[in-house]
Amino acid sequence: MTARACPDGVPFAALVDHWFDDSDDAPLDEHVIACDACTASLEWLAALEDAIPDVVRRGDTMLIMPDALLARLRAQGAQVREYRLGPGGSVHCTIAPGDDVVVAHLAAPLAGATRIDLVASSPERTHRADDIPFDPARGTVVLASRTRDLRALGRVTFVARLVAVDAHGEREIGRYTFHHAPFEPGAG
Amino acid sequence: MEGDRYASRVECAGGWTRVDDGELARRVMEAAPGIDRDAEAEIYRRFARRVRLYGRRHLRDAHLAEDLMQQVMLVTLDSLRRGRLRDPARIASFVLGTCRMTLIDQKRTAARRDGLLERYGEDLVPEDSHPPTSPLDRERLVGCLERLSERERSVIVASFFESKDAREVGGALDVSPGNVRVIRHRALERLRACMSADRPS
Repeated sequence: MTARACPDGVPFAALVDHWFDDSDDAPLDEHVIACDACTASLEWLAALEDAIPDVVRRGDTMLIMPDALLARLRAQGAQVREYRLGPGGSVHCTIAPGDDVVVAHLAAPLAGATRIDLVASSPERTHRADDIPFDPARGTVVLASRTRDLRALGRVTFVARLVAVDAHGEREIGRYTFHHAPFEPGAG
Repeated sequence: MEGDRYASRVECAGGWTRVDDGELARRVMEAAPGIDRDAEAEIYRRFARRVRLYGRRHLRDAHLAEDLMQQVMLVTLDSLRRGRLRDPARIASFVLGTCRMTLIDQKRTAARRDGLLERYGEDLVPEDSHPPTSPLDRERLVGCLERLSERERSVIVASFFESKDAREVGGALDVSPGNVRVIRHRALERLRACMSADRPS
């Protein structure tokens, strides 16, 4: 998409708010119906609205997943494989041919935390995601993995850690070990 | 002979890009009772996509938006041919008003659209209609989503999965609605820049 500036100076941020505003008398309607540049920007947002649900339903991206979104996926018939781990827990895990999404529910003492980082380590590399979204009241972070990566894995163990960060430093509040193996029919 | 019914098809030297919406509307009105098909097709090309977006934003359904677009464009072109616009320069306002009325009407009855389609359908709607929203390069989109922070990606996905407003997204992620808007703006700017960037060779 090539971004074109609106000749009347309507900023992209205003168009984004406009897109998510369902009111019947949105003030930008009058402008947008006559503006090609703003129409192009909104078409890009519409294309995202078409594409992103499909990306999520196919597990194409790693994602900290809100409960409501997970519930919608299930309701829409997505095959969701779920693992639940407490702090210090471990699990034998896999991905079956029919799985659309694989998620891990990572329970942790989140109350009082202001920032949580997720650190995932495999034998090959470590990835740190700073300041992940979380709800302290839920006590769980739901992590959806990229299914294409999981399908390509052999037997491997990787570790995820949740780290609380504040002005005093950081402390691990949960460590979770995943023993991944390729899917074997009948292996349970 | 069919050509005798039609008004001049002369385009300006630079194509239609230099002709504003009002001038196009005036050409269609002045051609009556003949038909300036080129001017009509250009009006359709410009406004169909705008009306479709209006429909998507208000109806959150691509198929219903397509229905709305067809009906609004039928009414618009029919009104131009019948000379019902007092000021062709205000065609955008006319289209928006028709969108609003149609949206209300659409909830009451589908009969009017069916009648218009039956009467004029093939004649009024140009065959080379602008296609619905072009699909994005999926691989590229996934790659660009991965470049966002976890918080940005979660906000973007939660926003677009079911077109959630900032309050609903914030509720799902324990983020204030104001922060959702800030994160969403920033993430979409980054996403747009990433998807517009040249691919590495």
